[in-house]
Amino acid sequence: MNKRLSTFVLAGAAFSQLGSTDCGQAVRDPGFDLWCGSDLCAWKVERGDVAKVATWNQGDPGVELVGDDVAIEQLSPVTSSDGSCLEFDLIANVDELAQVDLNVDVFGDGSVEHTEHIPTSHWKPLSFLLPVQGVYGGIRFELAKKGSGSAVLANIGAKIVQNCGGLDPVVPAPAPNGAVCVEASGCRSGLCGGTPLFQGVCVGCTGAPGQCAAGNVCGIGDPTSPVYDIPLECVPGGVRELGENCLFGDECASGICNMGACSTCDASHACANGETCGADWYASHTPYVCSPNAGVRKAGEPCASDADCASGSCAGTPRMQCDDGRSCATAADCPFGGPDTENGLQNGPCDTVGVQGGSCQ
Amino acid sequence: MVRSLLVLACLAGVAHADPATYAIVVGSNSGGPGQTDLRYAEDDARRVGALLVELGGYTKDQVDVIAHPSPGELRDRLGKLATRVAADAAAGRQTRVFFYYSGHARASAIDLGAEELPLVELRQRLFAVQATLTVVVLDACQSGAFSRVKGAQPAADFSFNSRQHLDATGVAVLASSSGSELSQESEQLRSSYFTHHLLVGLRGAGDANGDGQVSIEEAYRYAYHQTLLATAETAVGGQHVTFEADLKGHGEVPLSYPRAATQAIELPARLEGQTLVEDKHAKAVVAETYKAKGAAVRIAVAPGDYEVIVRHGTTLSRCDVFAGGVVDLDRCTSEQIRAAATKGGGFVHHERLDVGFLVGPERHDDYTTNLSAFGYNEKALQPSSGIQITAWYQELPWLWVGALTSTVEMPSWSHTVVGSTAMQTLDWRTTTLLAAARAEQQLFPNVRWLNTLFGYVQAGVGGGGGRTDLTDAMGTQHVAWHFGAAFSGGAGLHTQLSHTGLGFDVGYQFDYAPVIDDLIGNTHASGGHRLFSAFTYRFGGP
Repeated sequence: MNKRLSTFVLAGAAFSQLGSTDCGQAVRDPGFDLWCGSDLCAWKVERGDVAKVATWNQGDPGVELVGDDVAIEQLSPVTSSDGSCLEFDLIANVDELAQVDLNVDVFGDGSVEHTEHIPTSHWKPLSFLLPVQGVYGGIRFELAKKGSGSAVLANIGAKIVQNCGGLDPVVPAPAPNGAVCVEASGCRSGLCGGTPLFQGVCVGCTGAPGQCAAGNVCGIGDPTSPVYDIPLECVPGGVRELGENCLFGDECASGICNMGACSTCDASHACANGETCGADWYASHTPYVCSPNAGVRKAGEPCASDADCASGSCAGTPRMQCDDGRSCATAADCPFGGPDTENGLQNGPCDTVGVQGGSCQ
Repeated sequence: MVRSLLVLACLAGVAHADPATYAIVVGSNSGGPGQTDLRYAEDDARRVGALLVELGGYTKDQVDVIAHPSPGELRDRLGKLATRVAADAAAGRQTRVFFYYSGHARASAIDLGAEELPLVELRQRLFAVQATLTVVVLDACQSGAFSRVKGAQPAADFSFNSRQHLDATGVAVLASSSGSELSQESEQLRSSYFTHHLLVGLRGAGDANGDGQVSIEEAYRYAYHQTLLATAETAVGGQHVTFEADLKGHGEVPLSYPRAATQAIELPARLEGQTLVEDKHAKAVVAETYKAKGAAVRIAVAPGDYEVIVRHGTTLSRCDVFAGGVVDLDRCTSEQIRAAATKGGGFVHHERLDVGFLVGPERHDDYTTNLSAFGYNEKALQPSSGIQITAWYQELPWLWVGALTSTVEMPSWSHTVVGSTAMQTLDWRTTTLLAAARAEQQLFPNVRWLNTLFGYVQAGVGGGGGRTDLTDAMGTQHVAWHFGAAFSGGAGLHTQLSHTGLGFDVGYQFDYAPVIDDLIGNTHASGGHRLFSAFTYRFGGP
């Protein structure tokens, strides 16, 4: 692994070690109190419908799982750095014709490692412990109902506790690229980047010769989950547009990767006509261009913002990215606990920072 | 309480020269089986004996005061009396005999401790004394039955005993109550009602015609009215003095001669009101009467210092006077009346308003357990607190009834929504309206600085309303009202400040109001252990 790649992996490993809870609470809005219109704000409906219904008081809502096949989910940023034992506290009203399960998907990669059946009850509090083995980063909690019976969920708290009392732990399935790891066996790729002394990150390649097919290079892949680091894997060479994340120049269409973003200039590729090479966006990962925001680029020349162009218009894809520079469509694509969030259970912001792969009009 | 006084025969008389006079005065506090001991029967006997000497024309050796005798002892005394009277008769001397009994009795017997003396036998023994005039005074329960034993019919009221029915010779019976009534003692008078008023009458208050002597008819009229008035509002009820006579001849039968007394207190004509004459040294009530405006009244007393207390309206006047003096109203001190009790155990009803403060921990139950299950936490170090207002009416000297309302704010419960700054908060309060009753007892009646301190127990039952106000995570308020029964009980201390209507309560209270329901079947019984304190203000009469 070359030096720059090692640096990237170590940075990713450090990112992955940040614990993310709210005073030990791993689930946001466990009481289903936050509603955005008729939708839950903190939970995502996977399938079926939900409804806001009263629980013990008209003013304290719960969520009713409406229909025969309903599921809601929430991805929690909780990691093994927060703790390895989760305590669940549930309170629900489930009738006999409904089968409600709490599915625990460590790493949130779609593989459910543990299912806890929520028994028929009329608002009877239920509590259980769940140990998780090894390192992990992120858990997806899924509440699923099958059957025609009524099921109203009022509270599902999940908090980190110290001791699970010798219960058999949940063993996570091998993790995808970008997930934390301590050994290669914990990764689907069989590659755990970083050093044995620290948590590493599962990677698809290490830059070693022959790991990638012809035409591909070992570089930055597309982000897949806010609880994973940006994956390092074999990607097509020379296709990243101006402004996209990169690790090496051969990933970029311009052939230049400067400060983690595909650029038009760097120390080895100076600007012509005495122009200065500089950062174009006011963001942490920004492309470097000649005379940024100076309005001197002519029609057809590459640009990263409208301000670069003499015409004031840079045609291209609006670049939306998280604080760590990864591209995003919504805040839900961004890692948790960003500077603009109140705590570690909310995703960081997804902001428009410029234009990706643009050309002046 | 049962009290019986029997007075037998007194010969009234100064009409003939030197009649022999004898008195047997008996007092017995001891009760028989199932009877509570009396407190003042023996004291009353001593007072009667003293008055006979002081104002009745008897010498000390002619008055035989006997405390708690056995039936045998009493038979012995009566036998000796019969012997002496027979000897007088043989010598051609007229005799007058006065017999007084104060103690327990039943319709058929007087109770002398554990033993009884049948009334039939008592009658036979008294009538066996062949006195010229015999007066019997009985202060005992159902003492009017003595007359029926004798064969006479009880009088419906005093009008039966008009002057023309009285003669100078024969037998007259004065009984403290009818054959079916109970006779009562007064803690305030420290005497029986009947004997007290009889003695006051004999001291001069009963001298209706102002001739300086109190006849048996005047004594009866006075004792009848005063005893009935004094006992009308007691728990036992009105006590009717009865008078029966089998007399021959003409002329009044004087029982006392207050004009002849060396010392007397004169209540002036313009004095009006309930009047109490107290011996300052003995701390004993000598006389208690209602003095009407318009004529002076002279009350014979022993030499000494006296305080005359006159209650008129809401004013209490206190006058120091020496025996032989006249009450000078201009030199009396006056104050607003504060005592609730009046003569004879009757009392003036008061109203009182209490405004107080409640504080204490709120009860935890299934409702609050459920709040915890839903993630709520009770606000730390915040007790329930509120105000309580009670309007009381004094039904009996020791019993107050009224309406109580309170409103109590309970500790709020809240929880933050994990992963946000939102918070859900439950604020709640309960308001109750109860019918309440309180029993109050003076704790230290004989300790000057503590005699305004009362202990109380109280209870209330009624209904209540609970208001819950839940502010949800979006800031919307959800208000709901709940209703149900409410109960309250407590105990504590009450003090009534002198000369004002102000007072203060402090005590413990336990409230229980199961009024607040949730939607999943839990009910919160608002309340719990409370510390209660209140300012009180008493309205109404003295």
